[in-house]
Parts: sequence; C-alpha cells; structure tokens
Amino acid sequence: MKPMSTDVKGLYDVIVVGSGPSGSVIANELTRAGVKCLMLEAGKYYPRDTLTRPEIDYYSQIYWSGGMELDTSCKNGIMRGKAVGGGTLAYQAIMCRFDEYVFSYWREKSGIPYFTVEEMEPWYKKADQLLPTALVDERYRNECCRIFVEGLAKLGYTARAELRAMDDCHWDKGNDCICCLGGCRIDGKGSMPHTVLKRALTQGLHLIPEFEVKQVGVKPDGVIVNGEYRQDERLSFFGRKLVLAGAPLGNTKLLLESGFKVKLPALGDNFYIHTQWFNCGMYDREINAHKGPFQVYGTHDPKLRQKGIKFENTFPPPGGLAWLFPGMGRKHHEVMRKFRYLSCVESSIRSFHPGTLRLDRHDSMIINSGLTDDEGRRTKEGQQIAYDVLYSFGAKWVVTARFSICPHHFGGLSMGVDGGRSCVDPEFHLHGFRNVYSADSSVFPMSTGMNPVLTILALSIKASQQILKEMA
Amino acid sequence: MASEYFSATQLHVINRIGDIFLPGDGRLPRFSECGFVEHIDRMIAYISPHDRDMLGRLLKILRFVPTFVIRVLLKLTQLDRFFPGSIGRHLRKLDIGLRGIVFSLYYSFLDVPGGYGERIKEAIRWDGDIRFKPEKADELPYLIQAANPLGRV
Repeated sequence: MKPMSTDVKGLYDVIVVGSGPSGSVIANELTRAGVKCLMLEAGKYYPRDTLTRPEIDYYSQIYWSGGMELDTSCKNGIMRGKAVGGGTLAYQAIMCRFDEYVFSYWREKSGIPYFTVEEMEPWYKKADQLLPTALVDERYRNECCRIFVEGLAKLGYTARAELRAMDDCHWDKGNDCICCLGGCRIDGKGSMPHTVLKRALTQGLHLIPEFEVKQVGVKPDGVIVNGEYRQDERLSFFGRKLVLAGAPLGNTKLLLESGFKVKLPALGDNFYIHTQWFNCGMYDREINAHKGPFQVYGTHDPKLRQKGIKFENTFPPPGGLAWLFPGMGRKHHEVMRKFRYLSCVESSIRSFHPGTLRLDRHDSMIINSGLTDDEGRRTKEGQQIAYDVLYSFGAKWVVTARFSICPHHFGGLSMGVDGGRSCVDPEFHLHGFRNVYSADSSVFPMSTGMNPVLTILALSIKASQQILKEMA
Repeated sequence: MASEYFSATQLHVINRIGDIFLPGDGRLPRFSECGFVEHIDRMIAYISPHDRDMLGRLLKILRFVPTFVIRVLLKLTQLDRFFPGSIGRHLRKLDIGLRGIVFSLYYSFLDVPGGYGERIKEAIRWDGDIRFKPEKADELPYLIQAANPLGRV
C-alpha cells in the first residue's frame, strides 16, 4: 500500500464516495437521522441552466474518460457518470422491481437468503417514495414507439409501458426527451441532484464536488480517505465509517489501488455488463424518432427474459448516431440528411459469464467483459428480432451499431456469504472491514437483464438502516 | 494556437481525416471548411492523458502519410471483423476514437463563423428542443455552494 497523507481536513461520522443513486440515498437516510456526513464526488456540479448542451460537451464532461471506457475487446464502451448525481444526470429513467428469475440467480450465486421478491418488497416500497414516477401518456407516443410495440406484437412478443422516474416533462409544449440525455434542464427527470440529494443537502450533508478519491485506509477507529481536489490539492478526511458508492469501476479501482486485493481475493471478479445495441431502420416516410418522450416501452416478455434479451424504444442523437453506425463520405451524408426517416429498436443482452476488473502497471483499468460465444449468439438473435420489427413496418434497410454501449454494469465487489468468492457480506460490509460499506451496483452478485436503479435505491435504504443500527 | 494539446499540424491532420469522413455534398459542408477543429479541446481535455498522448503521436505520424493511404486505413477499420485478436482491437479503437472526434464536432451544431453549425442543423432538419422551461428559480446551486466545507465552489 502506498503511503498516505495525514493532512486531515475534517472529521465525519460517515464519508460517502460517489453521488449517484446509492450515495445520494444513503446520505439522505443518514443525514435525516442526524448523522454527520461528507460526500466526495469526482465530477463537477452542473447547474440546471447549463444543461441541454451540445453533444460534444455532455459526452466528454459528464462521463469518465471523456465519454466511455473500452473493454479489452474494444467492442463494448462502458459509460459511467462523472458529475454530481453520477449517472442519474444522464440516463436514470426506468424503474422496475427485479423478479424471482433474477433473485433466484442471486441467491444461488451469493448464498444470501433475503434476495426474494417478498423480502425485498418492503425496501422497494420505501424506494418508491424517493422519486416521482409516471407512465408516459399514450397521446405522446411517437411513430418509433408505435413501430416498436406493434412490430414486437406481430412477432408474438409483448412490450409494456415502462415506469419512468420523471415529473412533468411538458411534451404538450414541444419538449423532446432526447435533449435531456446530457442532463435535464427542467427537473423533469428524477435525477439525484433535484430529488434525493437535494433533501440530503437541506438536512446538512457536506458535499465536495471535483474531489477524486485516490486511496482509502482502514484504521482501528475509522477510515482515512485521501484524494485530490480540483486535480491540484491533496487532502484527507477522516470518518468513523466509509460508504463506497462509485459504481463497479470506481469502487473496484479505488480498492485495488488501496491494496485491498490481499484481504479481498474476489475483488474485481464477478463483473457483468448489459451490452446495448442500436438497430436503426430507414423508411420512406418521416418517423421523427427524436420527438417527444423517449424510452417509453420495454419488453419484459418471459420468453425474452429467459434468453437474456431485452428491447427498448430509444434513439441516439445525431452525433451519437453518426458515430455508432458504419459508413463515411457522401453515403453517410445521404443517410444523415434523412435523419428524420430513421426508426430504432435497441436490443440489450444480459451477460451470464463473469468478467474481471484489474489494474495495469499505469493503474488504468483493464476491463474484461467476460463475453463468450453464448452472448455473441444471443446478440445476433436480438438483432434479428429488431430487424424483423423494423422490416415489418416497411424499413428499406436496417443496420446495427458497430459497437455496444454499456451504461449498466455490475459486480466487482459482489455480495455473498463466502469471503473467498465475494467482497461484501449480507450486511453490506466489506468482508473483514466492519466500517466500510457498499450497496450500489458493484455489489450485485450477477447481471439482471433489467434496469437496475430501483434496486440500487432499495438496497441502499436497507444498507442505511444497517449503518444506523450499528452507529446506535 | 487553437488547441492547448495539439499543434496546428496535428489539427490539420484531423481536418484531413474529417474530410474523408465528411467530404460535403452541396447541402452539408465539408468538415474542414467549418472550422470545428478549433473546438477540439472541448473533448480532448477530458480524455485520459495516456489516450491523448497516443492520439497526438498518431497524428504526428499521419502528417507524413498521403490522404489516399489514410482513406484506405479508415476503410480498413470498418473491416475489423476479419482481423481477430490484437489487430482487430486496434482497428476498432482507432475507428471509435477518430469517428468520435470528427462526428461529435460536426453534429454538435457549434456556433462558428460562417454559421456552419446552423447549416448542418438545417440540412438534417434537427429540431430537438426543450421549449418549456420552469419558471421556479433553481435553489440547488446555493445549496451545493453552502454544503461545501472547502467553501470554494
């Protein structure tokens, strides 16, 4: 372990690293109970009025590494938020409960008995209270959405309206959700800064944006957190307890750099992703997929769930579309001039095979997604269904993105009862470290095939209760 | 100098690459004529120093390479599936990186002299917008500022 600075700037009951859904919820629960909390966030705070910016700015500024981090195959781009609010600033939208199908895998992998629909339900109910949620009114369904729902129905699959974290998005006044991919300027999206984190701040939470935690150390009476403020000032903070809420890559990197691999042999193992593939079809009429609400419908069809394939109706903005899809030159211009004639079906593949997260000699992450021929086969199957949906409504041609984007990633600090095969115990402590906790998607024992935010919120409330119990 | 990270020669190479991807077609302008490359630091400043360094080296090498060879190289990156292992990986990385720079600059509708951003927006008929804005003032900036114990937000 490298030597750490002891220039301690502050003493706290709990230090939370990361301001995404898990960090914000835990900070909210703890400050409400009067606990003195400090939250450290590597990204900047972007005020509402500065959002809805050009694509060039939001990709590079609100995600780590200027947009995405590639896995070792360079076929999958891992996207993780770097801003106050974490990834919720950009893509939090669909709120769904995990079903028995997911929890049965989790129980088997982790040995934790409370991963059942019944035992998790009280925590889901509490999570439901945290954010405004709604279904998109059918009046605002656009043509891309209609092709998605009716095309899947023609093939015998059911799509259902997704419960979205949102307030009033004012589509009746001409708002287009695609403009909020880099953050919502009307507080319509239930992102953390405008919901849970805001409450925590009014309850006395201390928050330092632009503070990148570089190392953590555990001492008998607490934890010391060492990092850089605005890349030029090295500071340390001391807390009785530490909550890691930096998502799989952030948490794993921090613990690997801090030398925890010796005591946590499974650190960086059990890493899973959902690969998301945009499939676009060109029509001879205007579709206007970019207008109105976005990500309205998804599939929860049991036949598809068993295959680990999910579909959502989304659409990339122009820069993303041009970047993802093959082609160049005049042919590319021709396609982009018909931007409004494109429709999209996004296919998402759940990985069943674990990958690993490691550090290279420059302390950069080596992301091995662990994808096998099985994921490759299901990717093709998903793309074929998407093609069939798009062709069934008269698409002239259909094309799939050159690589996948992965905003959902899990594990690295997976939960389990066995300290040799997992990192976090059923009470959310790191194995062998009673004052270090985690409850974000890095603790998921396995991938899910479903949108994870609501479960991250539920687990974080449960972890907060555990922390409060132990502090009492 | 338009960039803190790249020389004028390196920026010229990006313009050459940009013109291969986006040569213009009468309604949509050629990449280099738009002057978007002047805004490259808006994205380059955020990538890792290692990736920035690698990109800078690549651009230095490509300055000596004829445009038709660069064109062949860029076409080759689209055929990565025929190159398993390390070669395929590097081709994909090159493709993702160069396309990312060029297309992000081009389709961000940047406000540049000559109104090229607006011209591109009109040519593809992009009209995504947030028309309704909340009237209530946002109190979050004040909360964030007050919550920072370092007091320097």
